[in-house]
Amino acid sequence: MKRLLSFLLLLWLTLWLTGCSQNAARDARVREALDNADPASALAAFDEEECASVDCLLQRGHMAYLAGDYRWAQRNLAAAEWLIQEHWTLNLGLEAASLAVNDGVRDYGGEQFEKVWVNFVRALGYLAAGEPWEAAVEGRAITRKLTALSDQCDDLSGYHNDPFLQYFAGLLAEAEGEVNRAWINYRAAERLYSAGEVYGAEAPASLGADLIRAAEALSFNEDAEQLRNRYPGAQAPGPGEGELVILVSEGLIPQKYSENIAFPIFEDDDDDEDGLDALHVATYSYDNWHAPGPVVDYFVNIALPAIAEGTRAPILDWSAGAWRGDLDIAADLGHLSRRNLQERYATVVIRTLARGLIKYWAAEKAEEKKGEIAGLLVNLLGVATEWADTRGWVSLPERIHMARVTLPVGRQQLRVGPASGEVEIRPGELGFLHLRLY
Amino acid sequence: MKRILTVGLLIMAVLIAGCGKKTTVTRLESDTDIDLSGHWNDVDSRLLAEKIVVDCMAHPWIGNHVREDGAPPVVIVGAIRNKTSEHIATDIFIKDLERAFVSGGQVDVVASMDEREQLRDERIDQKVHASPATIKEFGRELGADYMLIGVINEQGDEEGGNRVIFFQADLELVDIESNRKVWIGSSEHKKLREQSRF
Repeated sequence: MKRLLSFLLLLWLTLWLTGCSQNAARDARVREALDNADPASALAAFDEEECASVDCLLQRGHMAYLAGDYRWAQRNLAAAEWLIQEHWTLNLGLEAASLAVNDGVRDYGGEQFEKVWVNFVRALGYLAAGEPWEAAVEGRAITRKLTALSDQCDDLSGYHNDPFLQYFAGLLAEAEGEVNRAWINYRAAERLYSAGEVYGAEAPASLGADLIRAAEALSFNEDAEQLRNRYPGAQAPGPGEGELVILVSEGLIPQKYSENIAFPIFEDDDDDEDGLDALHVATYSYDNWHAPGPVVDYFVNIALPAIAEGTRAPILDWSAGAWRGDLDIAADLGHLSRRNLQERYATVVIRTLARGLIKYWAAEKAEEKKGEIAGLLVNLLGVATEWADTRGWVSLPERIHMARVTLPVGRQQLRVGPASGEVEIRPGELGFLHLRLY
Repeated sequence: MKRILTVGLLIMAVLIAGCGKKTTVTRLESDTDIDLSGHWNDVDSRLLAEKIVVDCMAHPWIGNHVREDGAPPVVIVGAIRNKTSEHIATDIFIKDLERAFVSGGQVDVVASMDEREQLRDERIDQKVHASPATIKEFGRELGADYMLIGVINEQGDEEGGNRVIFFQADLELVDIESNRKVWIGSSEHKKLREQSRF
């Protein structure tokens, strides 16, 4: 009895600790609040939590930005960046523990794309706070990180670069007067967007004009001529006009979930060659739940991460008084997330199988040494603790829509669907406005 | 069973240790060189400022100015633009430059635009509240002869956990009256950040 109690305590502790790392309830609360267009409530979901993990800091920083607390947003996002760097060094103890419990006990170092998108949100925070020079720093950080990523391997083979973030970094550089840097970013964006299936979005209509403008400013006449042929109709703003980059975050990134495959292995499985255990147990328990059946030797539970289906992209347009136009989808984060998971899926599967074998071995040993009940309990502990690592930056939008538009100088009220914002258009300047559609 | 329990408890211990907090605080001298993350910090700021001011003072523009005017040159430190991918508090760098100039003793440094506003407010206040003998007069400010302006640039290379960062401050001293650049200098600083995978 004493042993059974110790074991149940162990089971409870394991569940509690692994559940603690998952934070599924908090994530659900954040997404529900965002669904209701209420970032302040989403931020309140962190009130009683001391954020010490990358996913928590990313989300809290993001929510603080959406709620208008820009200083708090930067502090959290900077801390997340620091922690991401720290987690590059693997904690061997947690790595070992993850092979016995589940991947959720490892330090969460952020998905590859999340590590760069943190700088996008930070840049938005600085722009909203009226500090464009600090936003430009984030633009350079984006370029630096993407350069390091693309140096690792072919950037058209997976998430090793990002066309939208290259474009965004270029726009920030141009706004700062760094046309040469902007040109390099725009060229990278054009090349990456041309491989649409890799990054899931096509080049926004404004990119062509931006390339032409940068080439002309740098006196790259040959390039400018080629670009004019490729992108006819690109126009520069006239006198008394200014430019605005409209960025619209829309939807919520499809969430990761744990896909569990559970089936028993029966004691007489050696004679069973068809291998349809799951089917057998399902049909058996449906037809004969009341009758004695075959004896289960071991319960297998395999959990792999999967990403929910995305939503259909809406067509958005903007208006500012008599001026109006369309927005283009510039980034599909659902696609990036899937692509990212696809790339590391083989590693996840290998780890899951290794963990399955370790859990099986532990149950066998327990049964061998202490009898069937002990074996069963160890088996059940293994089954109960097996779920996929579904942590992530769940508050990110599903897509980014954008347009670079020319507007008359002065204060303009801009509207995209139910969202609106006021912005000052200055002659010869490139401004930014970010709106969140929930 | 005992062994299984032991293994389980060991896992718990590792997990609990991972969640635990251990914070210690130690007071340090402000000139102690500490690099935690490899990012730009106070040490980079101070070292770059000291190096570049030494270079600036060693050039003949000071001697030329003293010969022509018969007085030490008056310098104001203007805007230093941050063109790196790090959030650099350029105010601290500007103060480090001013400190290095003042410590050198060869030039006079005057207050920046914001500081001057404060001083003028103070003089207005003195007119009302200070005793007549101690009131400071208007129109006796020292006008700067030269303005120091420049940028901080960064060049980096990184792979995995390792990163080489090269900071370079490019500064120019410009004659305020003629826009003539009397000195151009740069100061570099290289850092290596190493982080192991395990």
